[in-house]
Amino acid sequence: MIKGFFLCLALCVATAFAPCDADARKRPAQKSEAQIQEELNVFVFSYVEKANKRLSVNRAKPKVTREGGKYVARFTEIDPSSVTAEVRPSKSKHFQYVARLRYHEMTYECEGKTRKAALKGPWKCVNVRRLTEMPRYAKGKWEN
Amino acid sequence: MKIRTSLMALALVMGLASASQAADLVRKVDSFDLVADQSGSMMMKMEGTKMTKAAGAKQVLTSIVEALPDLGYKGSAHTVAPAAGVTAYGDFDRAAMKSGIAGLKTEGEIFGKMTPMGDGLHVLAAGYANMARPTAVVLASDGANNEGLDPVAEVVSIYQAQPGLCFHVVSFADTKEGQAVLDQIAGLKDCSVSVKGSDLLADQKALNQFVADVFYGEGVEDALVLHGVNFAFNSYALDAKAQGVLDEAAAALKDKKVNITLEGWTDSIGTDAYNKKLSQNRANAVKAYLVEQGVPASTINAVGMGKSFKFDNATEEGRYLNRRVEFIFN
Repeated sequence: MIKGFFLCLALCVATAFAPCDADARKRPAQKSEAQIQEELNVFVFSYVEKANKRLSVNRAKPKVTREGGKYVARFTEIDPSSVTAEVRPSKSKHFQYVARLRYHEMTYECEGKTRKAALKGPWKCVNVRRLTEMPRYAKGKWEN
Repeated sequence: MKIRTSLMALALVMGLASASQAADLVRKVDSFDLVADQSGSMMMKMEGTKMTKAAGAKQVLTSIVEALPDLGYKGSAHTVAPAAGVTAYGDFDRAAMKSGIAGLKTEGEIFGKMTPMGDGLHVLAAGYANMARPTAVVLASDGANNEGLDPVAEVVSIYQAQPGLCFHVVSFADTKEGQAVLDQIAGLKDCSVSVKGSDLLADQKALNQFVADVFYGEGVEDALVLHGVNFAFNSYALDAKAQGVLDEAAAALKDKKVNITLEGWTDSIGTDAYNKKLSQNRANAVKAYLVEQGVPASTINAVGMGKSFKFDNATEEGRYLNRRVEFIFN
């Protein structure tokens, strides 16, 4: 009787401490959509900042061309205040979530009699592209 | 640099927090100042009307505020001759701006009062230094009866010290001298827009056009840009990941129901001829895949654009960004 009690107790203790679902321990905690959106916001900020720096012709490096008797300086940049990004579940088996990243890509221009004058500004917005990109959430992180 | 990054972060967070407003319009300037001339000569009647020039200027400025789309501007309003604050600089608040302008004088002493516009602009210049760029200054004035500093020289001085700022003129001039002063101000920069106040009072279309010319533009192109549509080296076979990306694109395109020009781009490695052909083959492969997913073939025009130099090809990241597919919605 006593032996049976100890056997039962040992079994209960063993069960309580055993890694009854070893896979669950390995699995990361499921993230909520709010967390995924938060990660997207961080990703998008970094992506837009990098993309603006990676543009060959940007605010820091405008391109100047001679057109007729004048010089025209131009550059393109993503307007950070135009950026929106929203998460939605992916329809593809390759990604868990997909985002619609929308922003305005602005082209600015300034004319001048000299190269220096053209580079001085003020810059006038001459073209706007409304762009959409689709970053994907796969293997626990956003990529584009 | 740090401040710029912080501002960018703030702008981005604000952008993410709210859906884009007035989706078809894009602001040309980040900030503006509306400047009303309140000198003695502005208290004289406009030709052929019972309205004073100051009342005309007040009405035009109110109409500008009403017509201005909410695109996230920062703004202020001032008087010149004499210089004084009307609405403090800050996020554009239509009601607050209209309330400030409503307090402008429309009648007052005429005789013996001069227009120290240059002095006024000199005072306002200090505040302009702190405004978000680009900045539009809309000056509603008759340009007449000046004393003190030369207003044209003051605007030249502001331009020299403060790039990214542009004066626009709403003229209530009824003398050649006054109009000449305003024309000189408007002629200093190509960005300036110059109109007659009476035209804006008489024609709402002219007023809307002025607001559009100064404050915003219309979006001209809509495009979907996909990165990660990758191919095996020297191949135009879509890999599994690319197919996943295109599955998403196909779903979005089916919703759009528009004609598309599909542009395939490569990075700068390799010859022009090779990349042109490769980009065309890849564009064709993408089109074929989209058609398989149910996007009508007749709506897609696939074009191989060849090498892209939009992003810096000297870096791996730049080359990755250049290897892209763009869907231009026609």
